[in-house]
Amino acid sequence: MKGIVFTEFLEMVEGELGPLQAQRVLDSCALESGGAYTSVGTYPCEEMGMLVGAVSKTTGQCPTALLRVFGHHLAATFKEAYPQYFETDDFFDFVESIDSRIHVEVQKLYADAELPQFHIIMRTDDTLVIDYHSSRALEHLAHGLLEASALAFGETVEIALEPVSESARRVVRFRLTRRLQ
Amino acid sequence: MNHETCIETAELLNRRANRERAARKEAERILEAKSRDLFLANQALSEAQGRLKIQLGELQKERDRIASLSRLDHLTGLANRSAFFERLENELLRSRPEGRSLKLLLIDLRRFKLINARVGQYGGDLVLKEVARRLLDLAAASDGFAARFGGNEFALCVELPARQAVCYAAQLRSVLEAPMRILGRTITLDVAVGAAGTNIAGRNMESLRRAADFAMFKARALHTGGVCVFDVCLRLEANRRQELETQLRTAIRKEEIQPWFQPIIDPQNPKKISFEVLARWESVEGFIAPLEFIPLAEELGLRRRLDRYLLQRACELSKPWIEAGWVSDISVNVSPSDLMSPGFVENLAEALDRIDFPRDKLVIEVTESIFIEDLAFARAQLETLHALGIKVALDDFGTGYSNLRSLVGLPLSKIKLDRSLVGDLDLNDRVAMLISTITQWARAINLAIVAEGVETESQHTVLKALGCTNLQGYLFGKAQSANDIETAYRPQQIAV
Repeated sequence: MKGIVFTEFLEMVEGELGPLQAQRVLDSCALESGGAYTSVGTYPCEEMGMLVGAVSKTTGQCPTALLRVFGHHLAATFKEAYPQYFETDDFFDFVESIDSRIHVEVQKLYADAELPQFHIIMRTDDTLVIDYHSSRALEHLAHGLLEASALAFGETVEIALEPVSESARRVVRFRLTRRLQ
Repeated sequence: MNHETCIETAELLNRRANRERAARKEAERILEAKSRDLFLANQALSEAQGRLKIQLGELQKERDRIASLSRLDHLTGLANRSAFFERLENELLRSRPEGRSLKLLLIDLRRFKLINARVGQYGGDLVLKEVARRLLDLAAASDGFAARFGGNEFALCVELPARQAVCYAAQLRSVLEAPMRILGRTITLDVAVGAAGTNIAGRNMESLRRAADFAMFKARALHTGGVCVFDVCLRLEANRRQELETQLRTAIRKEEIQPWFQPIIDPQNPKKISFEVLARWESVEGFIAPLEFIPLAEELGLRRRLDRYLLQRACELSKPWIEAGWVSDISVNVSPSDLMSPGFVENLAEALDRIDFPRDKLVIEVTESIFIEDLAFARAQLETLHALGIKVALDDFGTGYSNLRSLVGLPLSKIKLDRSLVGDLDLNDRVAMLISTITQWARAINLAIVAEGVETESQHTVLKALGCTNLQGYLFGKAQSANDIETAYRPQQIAV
């Protein structure tokens, strides 16, 4: 998993719990990397699971909710660091561009990056149905990312998740419905 | 904050600082590695670019080589036709302002098939290479350029003063005809040279080419000294030929060339008469000699069309004479190219059937040249004609190869002694002996003998005595139109 996910997660945890508590969480995890994350590095996905578990235990917030909140944090970071990707007029267009444009650019920088895929299943004016394919079961992170991105576009979108496949490469269907303002 | 808490905080902060330091070092390591990867990738790209440049250079060389090969004659290494004319066009453009006189010399190695037959294909190639070498020497000496157009045709372009053209062409011919040793044999070529210069033909490439072609046409026609330079006289002739060509095309299209009929008599039975069909063209300027327009029609590829029209028309005109019984048959000349073309016999039979002309009243006159090209096919064509009931006469006998062995067994009905033999009859006793021998041989194999060109009573008497079965010539009548024939020969009807 790309280092930026870890550095931003720690950034969020430090912001929420303070640097001392965040260090305690890290200490409790016995991470192979020692938590010395850098955004340009690549780290085992399992360490993210350990970190989420440890933070959840410390704060009492369930991992699902924690990942969704982290999605919001990450979206804000991305929007600040890469504003050009948010310059489309329509939120659904932005979602469609994740695979075709954003991930293509990521792959140019990090050829080894294992990125999730978003397959468009159906689109109408108000509804977008996409299938999220990933081996990492981070659909709740994706949920938060999409939710926050919609807000960045000034839209409120209701997102419903429905598992499609529980195999090694997990597929979760996202139904995005625009909520009338 | 108590002491333990202070220590714990300090330790936490220390670990955090260590973690961040480690992260920074890790980031530096990753970025350095990335930088090194980029450097190596860049280096590999530069090397690949270098290799690509070399390959592109080689590719360009190969392209140039292929382009140059496509402009060369592979056997001799001389320029080919298109490269030669491209260069000639440039030279003509360059020579215009300077007023230089260029000469285009076309070279034909005559009877080259015989050379190939003597020394084989490989030997023939060696001869062509030697000719190319000599031409290159000549070109180098006169700052000119040479080409091989293919087969046994070459060309040379040189800059020469107008008055030296004939001399140079003759010199070129003698250089090429100088004996050469090929595969242990001495080969001497027979070379025809047709030359044209910008001073007479102009600086337009097409006119220069046409003039040189015409000069070559004339040079080929010469029996000896095959050199012809396009001069003012030839230009007049070429213009005349050009006019004639146009007129001939029109005349054939408008059916202005008509069959005329020359009588052939039976000396034993003067009432038994037949006719040879001859082409006559009466243009607005008067009669044009067959010797002038027949070869031209052949050359223009119109001979077949003309022959077929004349044959059909002659059959139509003579059919009533044959039906009335005062004409025994008509003889029609057929060109070798027509006779040897597939479908000739079928077309002929169809034409005769269309006008209901009796096949056994038609004699097809052929020359011996058909046997030189493809004896087996010629024999097959004659046998098919024979099977259809059409008779065949061998024309101009005694002037060609007269290969008696190849004539044996051919389905011939008649042999026509050439007029030159008859003409020599009064001058040379041996000719009479020769004709006597031929008539005896013909009689033995049941062939009729027709003597052509009979012009005197003494020739008539001798030929009759020698056993010629039929006679033809001015003594008995010139060729006449169908109307005149009817007036002159048709028996008068007796009113009852």
